[in-house]
Amino acid sequence: MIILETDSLDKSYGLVHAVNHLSLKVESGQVYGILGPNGSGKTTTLSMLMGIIRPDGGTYRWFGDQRGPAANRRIGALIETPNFYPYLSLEQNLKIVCRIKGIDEKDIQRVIKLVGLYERWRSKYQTLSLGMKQRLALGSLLLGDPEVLVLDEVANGLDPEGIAEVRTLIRQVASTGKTIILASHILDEVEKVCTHVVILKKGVKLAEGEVDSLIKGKEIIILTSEDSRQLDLALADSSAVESFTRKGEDFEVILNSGIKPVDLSRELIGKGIVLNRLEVRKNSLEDQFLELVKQDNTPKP
Amino acid sequence: MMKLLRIESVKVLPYRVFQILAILYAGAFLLSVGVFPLIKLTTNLANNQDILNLKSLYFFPQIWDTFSYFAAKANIYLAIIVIFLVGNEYSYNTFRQHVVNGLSRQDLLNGKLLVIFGVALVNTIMVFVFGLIFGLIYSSGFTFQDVFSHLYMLGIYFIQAVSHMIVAMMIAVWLRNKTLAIVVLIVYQVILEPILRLVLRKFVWAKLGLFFPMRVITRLTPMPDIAITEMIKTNTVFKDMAMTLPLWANLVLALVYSLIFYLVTRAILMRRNL
Repeated sequence: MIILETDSLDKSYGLVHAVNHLSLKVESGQVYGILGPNGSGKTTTLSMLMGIIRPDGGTYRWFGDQRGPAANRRIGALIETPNFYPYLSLEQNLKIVCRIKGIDEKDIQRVIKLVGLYERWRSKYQTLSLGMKQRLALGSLLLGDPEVLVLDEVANGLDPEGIAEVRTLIRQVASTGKTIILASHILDEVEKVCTHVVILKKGVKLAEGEVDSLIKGKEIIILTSEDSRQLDLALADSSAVESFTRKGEDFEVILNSGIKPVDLSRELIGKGIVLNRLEVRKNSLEDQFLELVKQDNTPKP
Repeated sequence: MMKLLRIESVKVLPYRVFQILAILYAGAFLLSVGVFPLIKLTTNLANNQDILNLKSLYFFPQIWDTFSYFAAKANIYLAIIVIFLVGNEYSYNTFRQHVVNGLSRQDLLNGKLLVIFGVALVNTIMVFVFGLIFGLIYSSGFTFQDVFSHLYMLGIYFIQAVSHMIVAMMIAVWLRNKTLAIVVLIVYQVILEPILRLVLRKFVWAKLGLFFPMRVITRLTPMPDIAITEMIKTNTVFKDMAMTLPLWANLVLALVYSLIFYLVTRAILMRRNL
């Protein structure tokens, strides 16, 4: 079942093209990461999907054919920062959410325990630390056990322990078959919790697909040998190799699917070639991503 | 609608600023209606019935005119309450969160209208209760008909309170900032519009100023006929200031202005990003 589909969503702020004709498709049960550096249009995209920013063009649909308040009530969403009334208690704040979504107020106890704020539930929101505020926001979006979670930079402001807790929580929720859409600029986060990912830069979709295949499909092996010429010939000859490039003494090899580095190593030894280096570089997603960030951070003259 | 009322009540009732302003409002009202008996009690100045004319002030049915007039004088507190409540939704980003959670933008507006009608209703009831108490104390020899014949003035007061708060709501939604909105409301109501009216009266048409929104809205309940107001009305300097349109015309204008301001608020809220 398709949970979310966008068609050519577009938004500009003056001269800044924040989201550039973005088309996405999220299916039921996916943990869908939206990955990109700051300013790549993640929050703007989610804001449009939740109805708080009007798109300049394009359309989106939740659950096949819905958009607007009815769809939003089926989603637990946290955009940017937790937003609560500072002068109200945690309980009162969550009551408001329950009343908007039409959820039984008994559920407040469950989520407030789940995020570890039970002792504080009569405290005013303004007395919470940043991490507690973030946890309360997480609790509030779990109210009523929604089918879909939308999380924007959810680890912001959390300490390492908090981040680990949040990830565990996301995995727990995901394991119950719920769909999660998660925007983040942290590759590690996306890699650890997501099944699918789209990479954005300046509002443009750069890559999209399963996290595993995006990583595995471009696994690079670096080889060096005493006898570069022999290695060169052997690689050109091998059926295990999809392609390779030579950079000085290093050979960067991409293997055919299903072939493991150890298979290649065995084959080369069989041909009498002794390797003095075999390095598997798994994080090509990271390479791609760092490339983006690097370009994004270069100071403009 | 019950749903919106239940949502608004959680936000509004525990809010300290709301509680304080509500007490200030009730205090200002009680002080203004209680000041004449107080003077009478504490000095012998009030023995001069020609000036204070207590009888006509607190007699049924005249008391409804007096009380709604004085209650309306404190309406600026209600306007400021509304600015605080609407401004908070912007400064806490809660309008945005409400939409994310599943309210429509129309719901946001309806919620605030409910608060406005609720506050006006509670105040009207307050004026009614105190009117009844003061009336029963000070009136003598009244009939059942006397008690209720000017009760429509409470309805006028209700409309006056609602329209003043709608102006405040519009300014708060437009500016999205409490402090700025309060300054703009007060500067416009107390300084800008009066000056504009004066200039127009002098150079364009003497009556033009009477049609301005804040003039219409702040003068909806007519000045009660007490000795002091008689003095004002006959004094050549104050005569112009006391001049108003007939009640029905003011009422129609107030309703039209309220509708326009509501529609402007709605247009801003619907179109803008939250």
